[in-house]
This record gives sequence, structure tokens and C-alpha cells, in this order.
Amino acid sequence: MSRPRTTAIHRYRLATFAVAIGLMLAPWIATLFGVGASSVENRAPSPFPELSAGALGTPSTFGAITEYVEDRTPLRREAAEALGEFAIATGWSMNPGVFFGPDDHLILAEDFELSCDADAPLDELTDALRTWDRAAAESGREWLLLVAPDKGAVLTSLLDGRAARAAECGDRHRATLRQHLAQSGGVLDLWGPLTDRPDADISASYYAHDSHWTFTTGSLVAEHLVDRFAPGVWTPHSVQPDDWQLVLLGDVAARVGVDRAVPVETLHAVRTGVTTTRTQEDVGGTRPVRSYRSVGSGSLVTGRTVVIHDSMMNFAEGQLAPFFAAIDFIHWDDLEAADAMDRIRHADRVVLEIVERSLYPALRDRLLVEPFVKDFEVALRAPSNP
Amino acid sequence: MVFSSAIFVTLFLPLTLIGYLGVDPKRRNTMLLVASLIFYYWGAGAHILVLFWVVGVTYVAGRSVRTRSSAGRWFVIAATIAPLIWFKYAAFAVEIATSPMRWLGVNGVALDERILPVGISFFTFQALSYVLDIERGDAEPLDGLRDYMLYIALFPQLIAGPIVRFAEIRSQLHERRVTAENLSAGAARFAWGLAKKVVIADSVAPIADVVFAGAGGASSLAVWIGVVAYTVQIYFDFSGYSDMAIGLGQMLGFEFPENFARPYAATSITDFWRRWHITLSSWFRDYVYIPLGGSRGGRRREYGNLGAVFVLTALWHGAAFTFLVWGAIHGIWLIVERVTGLRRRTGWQIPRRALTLVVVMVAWVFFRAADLSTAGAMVVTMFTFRSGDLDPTLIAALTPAGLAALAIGVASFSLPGSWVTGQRIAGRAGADDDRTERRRAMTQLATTSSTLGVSLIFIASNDLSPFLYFQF
Repeated sequence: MSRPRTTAIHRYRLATFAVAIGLMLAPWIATLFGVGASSVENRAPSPFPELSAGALGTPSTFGAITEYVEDRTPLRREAAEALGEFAIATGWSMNPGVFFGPDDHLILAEDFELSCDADAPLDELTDALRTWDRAAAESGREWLLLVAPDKGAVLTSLLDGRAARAAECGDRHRATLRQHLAQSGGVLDLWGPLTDRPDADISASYYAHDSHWTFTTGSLVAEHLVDRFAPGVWTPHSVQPDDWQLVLLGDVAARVGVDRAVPVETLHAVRTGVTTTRTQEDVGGTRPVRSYRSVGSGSLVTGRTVVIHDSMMNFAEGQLAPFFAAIDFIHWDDLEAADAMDRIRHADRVVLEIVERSLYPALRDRLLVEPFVKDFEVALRAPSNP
Repeated sequence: MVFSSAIFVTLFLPLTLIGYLGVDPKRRNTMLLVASLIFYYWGAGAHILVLFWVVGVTYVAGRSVRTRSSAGRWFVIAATIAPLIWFKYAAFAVEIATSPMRWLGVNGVALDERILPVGISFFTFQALSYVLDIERGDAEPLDGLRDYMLYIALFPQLIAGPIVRFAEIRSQLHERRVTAENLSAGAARFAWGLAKKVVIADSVAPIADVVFAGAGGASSLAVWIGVVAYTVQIYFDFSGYSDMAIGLGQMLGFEFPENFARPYAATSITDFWRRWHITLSSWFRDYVYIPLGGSRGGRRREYGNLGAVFVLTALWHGAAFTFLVWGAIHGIWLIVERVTGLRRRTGWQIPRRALTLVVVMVAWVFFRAADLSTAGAMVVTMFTFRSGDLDPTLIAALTPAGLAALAIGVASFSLPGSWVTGQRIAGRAGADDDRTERRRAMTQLATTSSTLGVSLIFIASNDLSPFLYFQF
């Protein structure tokens, strides 16, 4: 028979159990103090499932109820934020999807992983580029493929440790990719312009907690695009800061659970003697098609231009548009909804912009496969019909 | 509902514990049974009928044990394991049976794989132990269906063990005490197990996942990293779950058997099976190996019995050729140890531990790999010392936190023999002077607060959707 324990030991034991129960119930206790349910990133909170006799026999119903409750459990966001802040403060990444780089840069692991693609169909890409070159030449149309370099690719000279090792494979493959791309006249290589700069400029070319390049880098991209189509038209002094700031929710920071909503200066071009009007058309896709029309005495890239783009272009659109007489921006996700091929048939110029890490999967599931590979060729070859 | 889910930790468990402590002790079994059935139904849905079937068959069998013929005995066993065979093995058996036809180019009959009722292997074996313990006279049958169903369905050990034999727990179904010592030790053990699962096992899991998916690179180093990660993961995952189950049982006044005793410190495969999933290996020893004759009847018979036990052990884990090879490695090595006398050797502790660990790790490759060809290629790579870069995907998975978890896991393999951390924290070492007890109680308070707090943060953050980036 055990000896009676002192009150202190008994108190410690009860306290241990009480603390355990208290910690477990902490989210619900927090509601008593006005703490509400945390927002759920990227989606609406799960609805309560429909309960029928059949539904009550399937585990998925209870999975849905579990999700319903967990979506409404307080303190989740705070817990994730605490862990993410700890990771950032100590440099102890817990998320395989994110690397910690120089100057507080957070870098997507996909930047390194997807560019390390030894089996990428680069010969097929070269063939397609040449086919598109010929098709565009036949119709007298201009076209351009712009691969937007990833942050991981541009910052590669500044990386060390684990991130530097992860970057090695992509760096090797990138050299091969650039050789293949160089065989086409319709490619704009931006790796050189973005990396052949002082370290400070390289580091500042992307937002630290986001995967996107800055508006300043967007201006550089716009300059190269305009120069490509109409050398001498670009005027750097036209780029001005907006009188408002964009609150940029760092997408990579969000991946480690941290809310880094940072106000950033946005830029747009204002050209003397040029009036630009912007309209947008809701095509029932994921985003509206934005159309800019510019008129006036300043030099313009003439004719109609269609830009198929991803989110990187969002940071260059405002600087680019006033240099084009007519330019439409269509997101890759809205090709069908916006009837993009028909717009290309009516355009004088086409730009395909895609971020580097998306290029590799896109080669296999979009760019080099039907229907895009053929439809694009046909659209490029069609006589321009303004 | 798994122990490491938010809904279990923040709702089901605290409410069940509060309810359990709040009701009249005479009604605790009823309350616990209701909670256990909700727990099971939540994850299994209509498969709860399988649980009821197994409970019903074995309960009736237990009541009629003394009037039953030999044929009746086999009928009971067959009826008890029939759902297990149907759900777990039917598709595999048909695949094997029709494989000669496929080799001849004829399309054979195929059965779709069934969704397995959660925990069916565990509760089927517990139910069998009830019938067999009564039959052997090791325990008296229970009078009430409620208490029997509670024995089978008791939520702490229902879906992932430990396999609690009827004779071990019979008296506790009627007489158990909930004391401050049990509550404190149980909470500490549960928190410790939860941390092992969500902080260590889940942190190294991405490393193993990358390598076993073939995305780590073609070098021997990459494969070894993945295999070591999986070796850490499976131990911390499973033993963490057992710690949680034992801790939960303790809070409810039960004493469950230990399931792990530093298995990676084993000096032979024979020793390994005294330390790994102890309740399963002892179940097979007592209900299969010994009834088959054990080591009586000559060496050939002994080795045959061992082979049979390891075929069954392999199949218990899963119906696939990979599990059979895993079982074969263990079974063959066990026989080799008996033939050579290695299992009785002392001395050369460190080389023997290292050799045992390597054998265990090679076997884990077959246990974890998607198919035999993948496993075979990985094992060849492990021992052909191929050089090459690590793939960025593996480098990404090797986060500082993941590496730290891996280092902790590997370090735990070489802890001193007396150090079974979970048990030490839970205070079963038996020291009984007040000063030691007081220190232990304070340690329990500190470790429970910290490990549970950190684990809850991990659980909460893991549930958040990380895909915001793609919405631009």
C-alpha cells in the first residue's frame, strides 16, 4: 500500500491534469474572452454537411463535420502565426515548401525543385518555338515568349547553405533551357538583365516575403518588352509612383503561416502627350480581361497586342500599357473564357508570359500539347484581321 | 478520429474526461462505452456494424465455451476473423489465385480493394484473446455485454493498440481507481506521446516521403537519409500513439501493457521482437507459436512454427507482397540467429546493435515502399555506394526542424538502457520517497505543459490551408 503523499505533491498532480485540460480547451475558453474563429486561408469555412440516413453511414460525413468544427476553432491562425514567426526569427524553417534566403527573403522551394527537371522536353519546346516563329512570320505578326525568372533563380548568387545547394541543379538546367530558348527569335531572355547587376539591386528586385518581382523590376521588364517591339519608344522618366499603396499579402510568408501584409509603392507610366484609357471586360473567367487604348502625339507600339500572362505581369501592366496603342491582358486561366485564340487572330502582336517555375509543368500539360500547341500555331498563322 | 487531430484533442478528449470524472463511478463504464462508440462511429461510419458483429460472435462464444465442440471452436474463430479476411485479404487472395492466369495472358478475376474498417486487426485480435483466454481457463467470461463491448471498443486502444488481452484487463473493467497520481501521470504520458507523433514523427515524415516517392535523387546517401527518416518516423509515430493510449487509459484508471521498449537498441532480431510492438508479438507467441508446438518437436518444427508466425505477422500488417518480404526478412534472420546461436551471444554489443538496426532498416524499406521493385532498387542503391547530388526536393524536405527531429530520433536509439522516457515521465519507476515523488510531480507538470502546448500549436498550424499563393 502506498504511503499518503504530501499535499504539495497532490497539488502538483492535480495541477498537471488541470493544465492539460485547460490547454486542450484553450481555443474554446478563448471565446469567452471575445476571441473569434480564425479566418481560413484561401477558402470559405466548410459548410455543415447535409445529414441523411445514407450520409450518417459514411465516414466522409463525419470528416465534413470535423472540418466544419476545425474551421471554426479559435486560435488556429494565432498558433500558425506563432510557429511561423518563430521559424522566421530563428531561421529554423519547418516548412519544406519554403527556404529562408538572404535579406529576409523567403523563397518558394518550387523555384529550385521545378527548375531541376532533367527530363524537360526542351527539344520539343525548340521545335514548337520554331514552328510558331514560322507561323508568325507567314502572317507578318510579331510574337514573344517571356519566361519570368523566379526569385530563386535571380537571387542564386546571394544564396548560401541549404538554399545554395538546392539551387545548383536548377542553375545547371537553366543554362540548357536558355540555350534552347536562344534558338528561337521569339524569346526574351530576362535572366541576364536581372542578374547582371549589383547584389543590392538583385536582392531588391523581388519582395522579401513574396514570390513576385517588385514594381521597379516590372518597369525593367516593361522597358525590355517595349524595346523589343519599338526600340527608342521607352522613356524611363514616364514611370511614376501612384498616389496610393498596394497592401501586398506576402504569399510565401503565408505559406509559413505568417501574415505579412506590407504596403508597397506601385508604379505606372504617365506619358506626355499620350492619353491612356482602361476598360475591363468580365468574360466569366477567373479575372476580367483588361484592355488599354492609348492615343496622342507620343510614340507608341502600333497595332493590337495581346498578352497572355500570369501574376508576375500584374507588377508590370501599369508601366507597360501606355506604350502600346492597344493592349489586352488575359490570364492563362481564362484562355477559353476570353476566347483568347480569336483575339490572337485579330492581333498584330502576341506576348506569352509565364513564370519559370510554371514553365516546366506547362510544357507537359499546356504549351506543347493539344489543343494549345496547334491552336496557337493556327492563330499565329491566320491573316491579321484588325 | 485520430488522437493527433484538433477535434479529438480540443473537444472529444477534454469533454470525455470531464464527463467521466463527473459521473457516478457506477456509471462510468456506460459513459465510457458511449464515448468509445461515438469515437469509432465518427471515423468508421457504417463499419461499426463490423465491430458489433465481432463483439456479438465472441461474446456469445465466451458464454458457451464449456459446451462447445472442437468444430464449434473453429466456427467461432472463423466467424470472428471472417470480416478481417473479407475486408483485408480477399482482394489480395484473388490476386494471388489468379496470377497464373495473368502470366498466361488471360484476364483473371479481380476484386476491388475494400475500405478497411478502422482498427479491425486490433479489435479482432482482442476479441479472439477473449475467447481463447476463457477457453484456456485464464479468465472467466464477463456477465454483461456492456462491459465486454467496453473491453473491445475502449477508445484509447481501439484503433491502434496496444492489443490488450482479456486476462490482463478483466478485473479493471469492474474495479479501477481514478487517482490524482493516475490523472497526472496519464496526462504526462499522453502529452509525451502526442509530441512524439506531431513534433518528431510528422517533422521527419516529409523526408521519408520524398525518398520513397523516388524524388530524393539516385545516390546512396539520399536513400539512406530516407530510410533513416522512416526508421525514426515509424517508431515515433507508433510508439507515440501507444504512449497516448497508455496515458489515456491511465487517466481513466486502466493500466495497459507497454508496447515498446527501445526497440532500436536491440542486439538481435530476437531481441527486437521483445521490444517492438510487444503486445502483438506476445499475442502471436502465446496464441499461435506455442499452440503450434513452439520449440518443442525438433528444430525443423520450431523453424516451421517461426515461419508461420512471421507470415501471419506480415499479413497482419497488410495484404501485400512487400509486407510478406518484410516478414520474411525478420523470420529468416530470426531462424539464422537460432541456427548460429547468435541470439544467445553476449559481448560485442555495439556491432550487434548496429547489425540488427541495419537488418531492421532494410526490412523497413519493404514495409514502406509502394512495391517490390521500388524496394529492391532502393536496397541495391543503399549498398552500392552510388554518388550523386541530393535532389532539391530532398534538400527542401531537410528543413532545420526536420533535421533536428531526425537527430533527436537517431540520438534516442542510443540512449542508456534504463531510459525509457515515456515511462519515466509517467512515473512508473517506483521511487517512493516524498522528495523524489515531489520532483517527479513537478517534472510531470513542466513536461505536460510544454509538450502539450507545443504539440497543440503544431496541430493547429498543420490544419491551415497553405495554398494561398496559387490564387493570384
